[in-house]
Amino acid sequence: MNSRPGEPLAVSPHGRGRWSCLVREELRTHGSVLVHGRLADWRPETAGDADSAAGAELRTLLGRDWARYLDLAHTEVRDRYAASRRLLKHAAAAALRADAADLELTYGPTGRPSLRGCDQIDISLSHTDDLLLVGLTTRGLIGVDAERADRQLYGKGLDRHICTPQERRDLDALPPDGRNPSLVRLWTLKEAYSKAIGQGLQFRFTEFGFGPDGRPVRVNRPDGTPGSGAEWSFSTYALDVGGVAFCVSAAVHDAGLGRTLDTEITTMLDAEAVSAIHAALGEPREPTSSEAMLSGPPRPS
Amino acid sequence: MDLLSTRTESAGNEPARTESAGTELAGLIALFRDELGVELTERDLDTDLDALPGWDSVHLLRLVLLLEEGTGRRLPLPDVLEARTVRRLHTLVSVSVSVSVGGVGVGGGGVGSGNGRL
Repeated sequence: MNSRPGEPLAVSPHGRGRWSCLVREELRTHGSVLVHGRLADWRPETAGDADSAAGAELRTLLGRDWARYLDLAHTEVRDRYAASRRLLKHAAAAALRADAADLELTYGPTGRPSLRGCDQIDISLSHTDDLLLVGLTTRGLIGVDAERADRQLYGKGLDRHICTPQERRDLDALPPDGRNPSLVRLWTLKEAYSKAIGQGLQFRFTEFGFGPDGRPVRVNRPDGTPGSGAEWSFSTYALDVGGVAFCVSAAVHDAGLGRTLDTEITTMLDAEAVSAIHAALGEPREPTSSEAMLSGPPRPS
Repeated sequence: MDLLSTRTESAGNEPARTESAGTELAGLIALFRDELGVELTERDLDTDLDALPGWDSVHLLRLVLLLEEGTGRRLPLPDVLEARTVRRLHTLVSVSVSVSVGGVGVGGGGVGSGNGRL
């Protein structure tokens, strides 16, 4: 089953109605979607003053992330933090037909973000330079990564810490001018995969590898033999953003549940979240058939 | 003193000998500036590395590589990730170097070493 997203969609804070439809269409078609925006477009129009209209709007949008945003000392880092979460929440809101301010991000032990109460949609975020990148999937897990295509990785000894022995042999077999682009591709694939599994750099990059470009991509063991099956799909894209070339990769794990054609938030909320909302509202109700399937057999109270 | 001036002499599995018992914080700051292109101010020393302007995982990997070359010791990546700030990183490197002088390496699982996970 092919879970690879289509070409990344370029999005801006303006015209959300138009690209929101495309996000949902991509999710229906592929089960996954990549969107990218520019830091310059998504940068908040506030320096963190919650009393201003823009500041109040950002505070509402960031929710629990507002405190972390205020803690960041460097303006560039704060802007990047806010801009990336603006894009992430608006992209997720588009997929869910929800209000971005109603979505809350939560973070795992390694910083992996997820949407609280929406277990059926997975998210991933990457940003570098002027590029912000978001991945969404209803398949299972997703990880994305972006890097400037001209970033110099090869020749500084980094390949020894990034590559498996087989990958280093593959790189050495390339013409010299092809080695750095290939290492950038490998780096983004490894980052995407490790982010999908929630490990980041904790999972040593020399422990798993990928084959050369131009062939079906799968995870390999250090000696180059297959290490994963068809449940994982990988893709790499070349993006031109404002005249700068980027290498973008995505890793998607298909949990085998099939595509979810309806991603509206009322359908995507997990059963426990729906029950908690109704309990808070004092509205006793019968679970829908889909919730009953999700929650499994009744548990003793 | 520059961190790299504490370069150790080691061969094979022999404990490393250092020219200096410790590493200076100023050397680490210079390494960030000169090798990674990251300018640090006093307040940045206790800032999470992820919250430094321009910082990313490539910088982290390159930093580990430079520290390993500079100290002659392998640095366990989980320890570096856990250090999180420049000041704690300096402590980690100092401990690694001073312990190595005593002949008891704290490494074991430096970047790139295998434990067969897949």
